[in-house]
Amino acid sequence: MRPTWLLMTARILTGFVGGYILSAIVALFLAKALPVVRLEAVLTGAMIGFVINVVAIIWAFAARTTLRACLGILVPCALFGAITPFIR
Amino acid sequence: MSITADRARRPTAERGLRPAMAVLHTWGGLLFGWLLFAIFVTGTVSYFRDEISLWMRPEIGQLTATTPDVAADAALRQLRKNSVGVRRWMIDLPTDRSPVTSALVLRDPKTGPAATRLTLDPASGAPIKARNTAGGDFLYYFHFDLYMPQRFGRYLTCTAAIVMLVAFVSGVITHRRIFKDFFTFRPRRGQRSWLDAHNALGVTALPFHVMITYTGLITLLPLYLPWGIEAMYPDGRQEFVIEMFDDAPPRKTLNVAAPLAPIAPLLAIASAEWQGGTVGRLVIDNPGDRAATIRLVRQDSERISHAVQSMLFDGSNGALISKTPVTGAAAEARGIFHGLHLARFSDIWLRWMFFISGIVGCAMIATGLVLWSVKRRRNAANVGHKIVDALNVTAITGLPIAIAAYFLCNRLLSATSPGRTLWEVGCFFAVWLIAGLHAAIRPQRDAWREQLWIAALLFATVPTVNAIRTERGLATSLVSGDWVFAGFDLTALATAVFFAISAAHYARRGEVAA
Amino acid sequence: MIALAFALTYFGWAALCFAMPSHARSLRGRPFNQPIVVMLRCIGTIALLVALPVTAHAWGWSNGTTAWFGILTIACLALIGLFATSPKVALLPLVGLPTAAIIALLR
Repeated sequence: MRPTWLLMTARILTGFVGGYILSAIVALFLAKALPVVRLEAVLTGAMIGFVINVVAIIWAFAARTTLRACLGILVPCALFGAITPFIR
Repeated sequence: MSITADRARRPTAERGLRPAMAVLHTWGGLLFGWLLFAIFVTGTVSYFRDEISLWMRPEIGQLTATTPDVAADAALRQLRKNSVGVRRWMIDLPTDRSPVTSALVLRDPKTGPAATRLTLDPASGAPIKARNTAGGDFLYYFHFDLYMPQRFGRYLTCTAAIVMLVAFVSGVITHRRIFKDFFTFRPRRGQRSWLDAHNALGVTALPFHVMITYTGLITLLPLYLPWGIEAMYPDGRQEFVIEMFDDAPPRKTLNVAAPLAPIAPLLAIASAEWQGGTVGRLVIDNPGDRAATIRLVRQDSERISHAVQSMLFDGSNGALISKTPVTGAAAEARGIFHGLHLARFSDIWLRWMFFISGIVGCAMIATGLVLWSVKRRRNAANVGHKIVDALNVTAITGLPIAIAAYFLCNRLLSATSPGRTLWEVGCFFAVWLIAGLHAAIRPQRDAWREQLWIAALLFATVPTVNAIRTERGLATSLVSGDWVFAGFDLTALATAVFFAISAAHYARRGEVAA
Repeated sequence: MIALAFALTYFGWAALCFAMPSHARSLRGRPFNQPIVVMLRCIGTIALLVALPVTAHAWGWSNGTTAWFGILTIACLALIGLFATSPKVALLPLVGLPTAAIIALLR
């Protein structure tokens, strides 16, 4: 059983730092991918990004195991991070 | 080894959804609570930013209302008297809440000061000699800027807003009895009462709280999530600003003198375009030159949406150059979110409702912070708890004391004291610091009791000093129907009464219990 | 119109409050019968919803919706505060507010 403080730190970092990174990547992805005028895409991406940030933090603490918490944020980050550079 | 025993030994976050959310809510709420309280208080107060600015400049008497074209002509007549090297005039026309004409003059630094602010009488255009003060603007900017250098304060505010939203979600999830406990408030029961209060204040105004926090993030959207902008506007921010705020940069001067086209017909054209809307601001670039342009911006109090509506005219012949294109859905949504946050569309009734909801938000945060301390009273002796207790007092009573001191300083300093703006702001921070030191040194119970009484005293002193130092005391303003001054003084008195009742309650109970 | 909106929302919240067994018990010693509970809940909810077109009439639909949320909040807090003082005191605005509303509308 890993020490409590390590598990908690993992959740905090994944939630707060990882959450922001995920929201930034999703906002960027939406800005590039949405088939609308660029101002619309940028604003939609950012408005949704804020929601993603909050949901990610909640997820980081709600997930039943620390592993699930971390993967739940890192995997989408990796996925969106891989696709986004190749859009347009 | 039973599952429950095993579970009980796991770290709190792994014991189930509600305990995990409780941990998130409690610690996120505590660490960001003091900052969020300051943000909520200064934000709530900023609903009356214009009124506070008027109160802090009593030299601006009660002015007669004027129509936009009269005000615009008067302002331009005044501004033309000193138009050497001027690059831009930004003229804010008088509104119901701010009955003066404000002008910002930007000029070539070689010909004079780069930026000058003028306050003009709306009917005559004559400059009004009012005392220098930051007025309500100081509290308004503090609300999101936190008076920090660069944009550090704004990043901090955004982070606090995210934590606040997380606190709402986690708070609702962890509030097991949210429906059973609806309408429940049991006073005089110590910790139970603080929890009931915190829950009631949070739940009854939940739509407001979530709205204000999310829309607050939206107002700082280009700062906190700029990545989309960076990617889609590779030539720089300028393009983004132009598209979002319809704010094209000025044309280059031709250095050919030409008189400015008459404004009144342009105001009429704009009003017709906006179905009877009113012009709120004129932005005139290169006045007196053939390349002058006149932009008319719609008053932002007429619609909920804060998206800009403007029309750009050629300055020498009055021909229409462009007008704001129809906004797309996302831009309109952003405009509405921004507008909801600033609440400039509200009439006096709505404004008071927003203000009350804001106070509810402040009280929710305050009860949460106090609840944290009360719940762990057994550990009150340890250093961490002492720090939390001291910070609680510094935030919850210290900040209101500092605000009262800010208002008092405005009245106590003479209208012509040099550097009085800095003195007032300095007074605010100095008093807040002293309150913090007082909270750190004094035992917790004494700190609360003393600061509650000091807050009551200071807020009661504000209208008193107003009556002594100006001719617009409460009695006079009530008789003459000067509702800005009367409202301000009465609110200060009501705040004093609130703190006095709290102080008396606290003294009677002997500890922080409802 | 504004007084009417407050009267309706306060009544709505009060109805929903006293439909709850624990709060009804504080008032009259025992909860209301089930059919009355259902009726209180229905009427209460309807009153809260009807307040929306009332605020829309006073302010227009966009400002009115915003005002509706504000009035809901204030009325709910008023009820909670008065109820905490005494359940009977919480019933006073049920007389006072409609009276004020009628007077305001007749003017």
